[in-house]
Amino acid sequence: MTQALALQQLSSALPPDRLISKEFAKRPYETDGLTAYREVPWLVALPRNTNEVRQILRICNECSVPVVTRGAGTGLSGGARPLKEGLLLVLSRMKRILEVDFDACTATVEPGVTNLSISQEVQPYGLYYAPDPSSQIACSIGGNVAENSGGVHCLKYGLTLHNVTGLVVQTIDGDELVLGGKSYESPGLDLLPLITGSEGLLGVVTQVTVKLLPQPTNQAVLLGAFDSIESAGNCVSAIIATGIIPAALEMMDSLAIKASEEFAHCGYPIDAEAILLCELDGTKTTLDQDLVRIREVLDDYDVKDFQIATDAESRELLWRGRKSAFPAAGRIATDYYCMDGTIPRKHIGYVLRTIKELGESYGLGVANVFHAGDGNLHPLILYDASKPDEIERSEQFGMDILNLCVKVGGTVTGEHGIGVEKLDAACSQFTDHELEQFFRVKQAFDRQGIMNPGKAIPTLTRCSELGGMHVHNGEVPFPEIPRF
Amino acid sequence: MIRDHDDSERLVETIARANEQSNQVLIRGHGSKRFLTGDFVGNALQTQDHTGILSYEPEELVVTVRSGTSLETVRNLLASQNQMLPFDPPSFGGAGTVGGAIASGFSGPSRPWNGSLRDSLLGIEMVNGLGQRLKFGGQVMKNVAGFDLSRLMAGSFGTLGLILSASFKVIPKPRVEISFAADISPEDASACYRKILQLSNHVRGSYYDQKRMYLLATDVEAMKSLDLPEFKPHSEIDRSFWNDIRDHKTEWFSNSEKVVRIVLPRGQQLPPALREHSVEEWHGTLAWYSGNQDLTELLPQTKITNFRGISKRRSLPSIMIRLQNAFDPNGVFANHFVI
Ligand SMILES: Cc1cc2nc3c(=O)[nH]c(=O)nc-3n(C[C@H](O)[C@H](O)[C@H](O)COP(=O)(O)OP(=O)(O)OC[C@H]3O[C@@H](n4cnc5c(N)ncnc54)[C@H](O)[C@@H]3O)c2cc1C
Repeated sequence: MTQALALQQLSSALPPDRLISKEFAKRPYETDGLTAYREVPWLVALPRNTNEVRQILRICNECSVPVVTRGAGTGLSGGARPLKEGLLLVLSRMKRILEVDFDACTATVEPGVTNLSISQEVQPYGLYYAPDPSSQIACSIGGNVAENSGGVHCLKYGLTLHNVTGLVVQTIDGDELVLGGKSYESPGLDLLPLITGSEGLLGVVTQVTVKLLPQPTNQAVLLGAFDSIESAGNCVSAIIATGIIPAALEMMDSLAIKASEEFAHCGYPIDAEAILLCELDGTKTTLDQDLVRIREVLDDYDVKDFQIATDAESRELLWRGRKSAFPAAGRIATDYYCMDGTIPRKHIGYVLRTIKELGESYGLGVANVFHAGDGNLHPLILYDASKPDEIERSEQFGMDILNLCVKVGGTVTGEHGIGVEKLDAACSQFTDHELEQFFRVKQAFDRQGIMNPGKAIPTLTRCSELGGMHVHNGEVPFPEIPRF
Repeated sequence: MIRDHDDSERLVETIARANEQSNQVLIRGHGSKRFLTGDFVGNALQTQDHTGILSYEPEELVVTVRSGTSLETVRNLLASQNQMLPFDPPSFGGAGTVGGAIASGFSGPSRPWNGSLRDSLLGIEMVNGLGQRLKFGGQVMKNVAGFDLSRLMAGSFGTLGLILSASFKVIPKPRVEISFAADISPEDASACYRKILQLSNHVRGSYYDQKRMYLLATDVEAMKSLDLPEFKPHSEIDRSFWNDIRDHKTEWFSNSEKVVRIVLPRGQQLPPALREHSVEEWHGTLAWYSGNQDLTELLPQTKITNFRGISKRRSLPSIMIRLQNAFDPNGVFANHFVI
């Protein structure tokens, strides 16, 4: 038995507290943020350093035991869902900040370090790490790299990819890849963007070097309330068209506004159909100019209510509602399902209206709170898992939303990843040849195909069984939508 | 008028045929970086007739172009809407196609602040060595579906496939651009780089010739926060100054017999003996070296590119060779790495 042999070798290679094999102790690891999917892994390993990670990978490779890597387990697409016959490699104990280099303005950290703790470490020096997923207190930087995570401030400051300068990656075949470091370029092919967002399929990230930015000196947050989702949606494009890139530009619809206001008491106008939250930063003079200009644009789109916050306390209050939108949604429905498609900004109004209509036909509520400036939607489908067919209905509804995103020229996932959740949806985005190319790339890193198998890239068989869902190249569905 | 011509069928077929007949092809754009790759031998497959803008919507901040389109065309189109490519790629000898810019992956003076070519690349359509037409990424700002194979093409020098078209994120041109200059010593230059990194979001370029430092700023007020009183604004130093550096049209580049491009870690400069023979961009992390030393062993792990130089080529790590095989299993692309 391969597992038995692997266990024997692992036990002799590692100190005893690194392995968990007892059923009750493995339970906490059975799921990630996508809690509808659960599986207790064969074995949990908690290495404390890179050398231990290498040993574990070597043994699993020799014994052909599949490996699933896990950071903090906050992923929303099931990427860290364990395999019954596999080892779950948990990196949460590798959480040292190895170096902060003030000359280079970089921090080099182990993969289990939480996103927020990097900014906390360098905050006294006027620096911060820009990407700020809402889960930043909990999620790990290794997980951020594996998902190429975004956050509210990515509109101006970029995604994880744009803020990471170096990675050290261990492949299951035994290679240690040192990519980048503190340099903007490294010799040969640039593998950093390939590893970023690869959802643990190509290797284990054991070290991350990130850029640190100076904290902005002046900031302001604007809230604009609208009578219709369309005006708010169109206003987003108009703001971008001014040539001002806001630090953040977020939108919430009426259900999300009401839920958040009730939860956070932050002064949101509960009778509005939609609000935009727009954060600006810069020197005093540019900030003042930008505020005037954005105010004009909001007026052009019939803004009904307008608030502006410049001091830290009132800015925090306006953000509080947005940041508590997820827990707030948890109070208006027993369960919700968070989607993550991205679309060209100009289609925001149309897509939101269609989602609303779809919701009505499925008999399910939906709240929208999302990164409007990037066109990254997060419809929250509200359902009740205790009702017999609501899970299936909400999944079908979710699938319709993702297909709609692809049809208007977007993608099925902007920041949460394919994981196990969106494998079917990914079929509609890629042709067979593209999927084959993905698998050949995977094989270059993982000959046996045992790193996080069955995630992120759907097999050709799976897609052909879905058949009818395939959107083929060249076909233009929804011909009524203007395309380019 | 921008020439609109779809040559993709011929490009795809040529590669597919080469694959079937076990032949090789060499992908070539304008040939503006021929001094890097050496003279082409073999069947050149020219992309320069595959031209045109597939879409450009300024308020979406995205442009999609065919790979044979000249960089100049794209620059002018974007400038007409007061926008630009964030990475502002070089046009050596005034030429260069979009495909060639992606394949070589070079970014201009603003790279540390606006990001690299790779960073702005949103999606591509390409042909792999099997003659298959593939699309990765797309036209939206955020997309994590599938492996990011589009960005892997940046700097791949035609070893993985032929790029047919690409979508880039574009940005508004800065409202204000003003150059500052001061005569400072190399030590003071390094101190100045540190201040820029730690304090300012408003620098977009730096150039230092070991005597005089030039900074491109997008906000006069923000320059004050850097506390560099010796720097004075110079309105006569306009955009063309920075473009000449980008395109190697300055005296230093024309007068240097040897030129080696070195990308150093943030916070580091070349050792003094080498630094003497170099000019610097990117807050000191991009050095152009004109001395006689072979730097390959002196600077391990560092990206060193011979523009007209003598540094030895390193062998590629095995993972990169395996990746090349994953895209081109039968070795159709005769292009090779220059790094
Ligand atoms: C309330 C809430 C809010 C959220 N908000 C956002 C948001 O605003 N933006 C956003 O982008 N995401 C958001 N997420 C999703 C999630 O937090 C991110 O995807 C995060 O990056 C996952 O990090 P993690 O450490 O929890 O990774 P995990 O869930 O443990 O793993 C995620 C994936 O990464 C792989 N992985 C983890 N670590 C490594 C490693 N070191 N090497 C290789 N592979 C690895 C795993 O195999 C898995 O495929 C949110 C989640 C929650 C629960």
